[in-house]
Amino acid sequence: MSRLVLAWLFRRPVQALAILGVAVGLAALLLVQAVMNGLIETNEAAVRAFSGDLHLVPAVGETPPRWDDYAAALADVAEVEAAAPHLVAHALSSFPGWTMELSQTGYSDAQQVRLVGVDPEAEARVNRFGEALARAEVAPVADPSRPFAVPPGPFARPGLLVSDDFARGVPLAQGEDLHGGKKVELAALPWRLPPPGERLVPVNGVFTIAGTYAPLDFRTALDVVFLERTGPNGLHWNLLGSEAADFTEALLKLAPGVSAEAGKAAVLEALSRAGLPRPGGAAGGELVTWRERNATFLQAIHTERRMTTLVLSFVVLVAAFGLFAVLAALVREKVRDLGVLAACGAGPWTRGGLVFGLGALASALGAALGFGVARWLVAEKDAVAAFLDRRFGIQIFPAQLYVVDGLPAVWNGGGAVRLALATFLLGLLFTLMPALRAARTDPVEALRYE
Amino acid sequence: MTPTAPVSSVPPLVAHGLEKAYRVGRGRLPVLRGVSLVLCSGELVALMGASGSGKSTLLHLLGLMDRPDAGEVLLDGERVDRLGAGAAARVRARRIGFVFQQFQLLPELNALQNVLLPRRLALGRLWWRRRRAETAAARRLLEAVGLGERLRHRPTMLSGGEQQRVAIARALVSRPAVLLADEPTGNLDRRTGHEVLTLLLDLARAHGTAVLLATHDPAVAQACDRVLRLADGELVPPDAEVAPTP
Ligand SMILES: Nc1ncnc2c1ncn2[C@@H]1O[C@H](COP(=O)(O)OP(=O)(O)OP(=O)(O)O)[C@@H](O)[C@H]1O
Ligand SMILES: [Mg+2]
Repeated sequence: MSRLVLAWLFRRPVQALAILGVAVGLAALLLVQAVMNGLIETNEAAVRAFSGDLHLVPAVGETPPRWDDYAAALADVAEVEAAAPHLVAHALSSFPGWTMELSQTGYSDAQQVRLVGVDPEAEARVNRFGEALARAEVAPVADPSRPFAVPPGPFARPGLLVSDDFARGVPLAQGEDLHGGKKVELAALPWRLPPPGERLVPVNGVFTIAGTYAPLDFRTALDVVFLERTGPNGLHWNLLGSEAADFTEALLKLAPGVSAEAGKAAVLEALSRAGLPRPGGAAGGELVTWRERNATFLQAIHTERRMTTLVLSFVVLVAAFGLFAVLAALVREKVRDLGVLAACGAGPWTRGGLVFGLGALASALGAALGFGVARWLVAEKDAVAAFLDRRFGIQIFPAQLYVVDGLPAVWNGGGAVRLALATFLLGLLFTLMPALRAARTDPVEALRYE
Repeated sequence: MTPTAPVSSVPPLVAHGLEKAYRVGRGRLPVLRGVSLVLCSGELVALMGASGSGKSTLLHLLGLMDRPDAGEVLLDGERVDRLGAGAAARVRARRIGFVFQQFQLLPELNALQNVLLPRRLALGRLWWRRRRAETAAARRLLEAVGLGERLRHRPTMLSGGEQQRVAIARALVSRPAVLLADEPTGNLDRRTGHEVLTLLLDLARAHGTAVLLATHDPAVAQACDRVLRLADGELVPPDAEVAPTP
């Protein structure tokens, strides 16, 4: 019987093709899932690295919030490992002495930038700020611990960091480079907008480009400019004035093993103990986990994964249908042999079981093959990506376009086994009909069949 | 081959008033209208009749491949005509052998595997324990039909006469009480047909198997112990002289 099953299983090349079809469909499904898992993982890591574990926007009470108060309140919260304040403002940028003057804002290429005042060493403790500096390409800073330092001189201005992409668009005179103390003029909106009808006076100042950073994250693609937050060279002093708050948000890094939710609760309690307004209350502000803050973005990738899974599941379905077609054809073709089997003593269960075993074997082969191929490709993903690039010039995820290195692929063993099993069961389901047909073959008619 | 003499006095195959009609469009085509027969142990009986007289239909009913509309079939005294398809198949595997005009060997299996097929189906899981003994027995049977050197040959490598010998070995491998042969020499030339027939009858005698053999050939009928004739859906009494079919 097993001989017969094997002989019938590989009777025609098309049957092997049907098995291969199931394997390819499953492998594609598993591969795309692995890549989507990888994308989700790298994106989550990137998002988390840049947004810290908790994002705190202070409530604005009678007086603007002061970071010292918050830092003191958070200092003895065990759950919080590090905190980095940001002072965020918006400005137009231009280059003094160039044709684009900020006095004429009508120039359409006056660029709007987001100013982020940071405390460098605190920043490096909560996110990948240090890595962004280290990986800069255009003008890396000389001393990452003092990233805003500029060459001293009578015309020295406070230093700032622009992104590599921004730096590539900076107009340079002949012989000039970004290390020579290139000046940039910023015009920021005042801290509080005047009532309607009154004149709005922007505050402007001239700064020196101290270096560049690599944008590792979609939030810092092109238009984020880092400055020192406070102090004589800081954003607060130079553009916003003493009326302004000295921080508008803070990124908190939680101690290892502390869940975002637990950390959030501890921070809220510490703030209320210190008598600070509760963020998210009537006075505005918010305290959210990194996941909540990036929910839309993260949700988008999850949706994408669901969609690709759905589409590729249909591919598997079609492949399993191919198996069905092949088995149905086999039963039709083998009707006389089924009659002979019946005459020799094979009952309906035996005949149906023979075809069912055939289908089960084919499904198992297809599922196992697809699983194995996908597993192997994911394990060898770097070699595969390198091969594709070298041999065909194909880059699956061009580094410039996606914020990922290489081919992200994360093998989710449990999920893959479940999908392989589902494929196998689908194959069995499609085998039922031909098996039933074989079982119901009338022996007398089958023997007459020629 | 040691002859196994029949000991039981119960005839291995008895049929009572078998009726069978086929539906053709709206109407019914009666083929058998009350056929009764008794086959004694080791008896070789020829079944003759014009083409379309219902010889194959009768063999199918007796072999439990189909159910009669009325009447009964007793195998070793046991009523078997109402059995379900599965139970009927189990009975066939152990107690009934079939030989067909078209040989009906499975092309994917070699001669030995074809012969062993009824044993595998009859034994189920027991097969794995009895495999060696069964294989040896099948091998001896193939040697007895003169194919000891062709055990591993597929049907396509065998001539018609050789294929029919494999089929005879397959029909006898379970030592059935009854062997039903439907024109076993119909597809063979006269000489080969004669050889195969002699072999079949000799082996059946040696096994003590009762044979019912449908044929058009009076020479074949002559080689049997007794002749039954089907005409108009009934068995004609043995003494009534019916002209041999042209
Ligand atoms: N499935 C069926 N449906 C309708 N009629 C059938 C069917 N099977 C057989 N018959 C008819 O029953 C009659 C008997 O057929 P059967 O095959 O038993 O004859 P036979 O004696 O074996 O003939 P032959 O000598 O040609 O083999 C024939 O007329 C045939 O046409
Ligand atoms: Mg016939």
